[in-house]
Amino acid sequence: MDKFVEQYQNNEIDKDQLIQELMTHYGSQVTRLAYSYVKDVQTAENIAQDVFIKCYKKMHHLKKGSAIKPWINSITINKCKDHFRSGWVKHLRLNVDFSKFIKSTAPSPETEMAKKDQHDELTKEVLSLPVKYREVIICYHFQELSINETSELLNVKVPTVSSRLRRARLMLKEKLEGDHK
Amino acid sequence: MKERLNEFSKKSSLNNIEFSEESREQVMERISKKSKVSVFSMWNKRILSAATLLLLLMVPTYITFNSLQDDATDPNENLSGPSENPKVQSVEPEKPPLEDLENQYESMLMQEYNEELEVVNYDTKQELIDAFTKIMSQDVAVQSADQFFRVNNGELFVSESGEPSLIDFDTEYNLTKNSDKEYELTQTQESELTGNIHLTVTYQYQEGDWIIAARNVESLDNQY
Repeated sequence: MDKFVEQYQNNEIDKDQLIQELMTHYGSQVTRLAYSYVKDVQTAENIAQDVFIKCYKKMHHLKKGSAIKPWINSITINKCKDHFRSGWVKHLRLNVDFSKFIKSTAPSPETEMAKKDQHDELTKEVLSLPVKYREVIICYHFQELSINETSELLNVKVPTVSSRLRRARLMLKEKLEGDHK
Repeated sequence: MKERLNEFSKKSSLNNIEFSEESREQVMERISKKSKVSVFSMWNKRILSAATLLLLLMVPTYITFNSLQDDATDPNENLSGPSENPKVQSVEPEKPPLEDLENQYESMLMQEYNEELEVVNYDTKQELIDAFTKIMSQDVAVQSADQFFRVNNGELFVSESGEPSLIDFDTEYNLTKNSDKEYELTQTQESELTGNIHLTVTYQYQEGDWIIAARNVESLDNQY
């Protein structure tokens, strides 16, 4: 993937083409990462859109030879945390609550979207973890980043990542085994 | 558990979530709008720069003109009576910036350290405390420095004893206004690390800034 960035930096492709390629390769990954924070498909897609717009605007800041994936992941996580800080979240939650009362016979885009909100047992429990535990599980076990990469991405020390991973696994074990009893 | 997690990336239903074609089109649409706007904004910037330059030229001209006029007036006029009292504006503090303070608190405590856990950017506890007091009271600064850092042979290290308990703004908390210049936030948390705790943070408006004036963690399990 980084070859496209290199091509852009060598003026072989333009910025629009690069963004198209980035969306093809990272679009779903970014949306899933965002979803793991915001737990709403539409919000996650909006955040993913913002991430690619930011990539477009800030592409010239990316140094030659720098890997694109950690950069995109880091923008995504920052956008998600900005989203939590903004009052928009409350507004959105209000809208989501109202949408539950809307009835329709045909499968609406909302219904289609809701299907994506249905999860397997383990995913449900991961998503119910507090953010600081959830994000390390997502980075390490879902995005398959190393502990060092997770530490850099989340701007948390390596020992903290390890201890949070350990605690998160314990919490999951307790929840899942508790449910089976 | 670990085995299930090892297959998490492949089997998780998170994989059903895709970046839709619609979102892709919206990104390209927003990009093309931005490009158009940027052409306009280039002209706007030029106009704005010219106006700023003009304003900058006008200010010294006005001052010079005024001082010349003052020189020309009778100096006795100034003795005729006291001038109007300057209006004193009282600035009412708004609510404390809770999340901002909490983020700063967290980043101050999460100091950079080397492989031996030695703090990189500060040499003594006093330096740390001085830095901490920008956003917290002296008491909280000393308490935090003692709790999360240790000194060994004159060197400053991160203490392995534990992490600070932080407010989780994603979950329920209570904010009480004690006065215009004091708020108190309380939250009950339960985690693997801390057990069941009650966190109380007091914010005070001091010398034009909100600071963390007190911070208490009470264990509801009687566990420490």
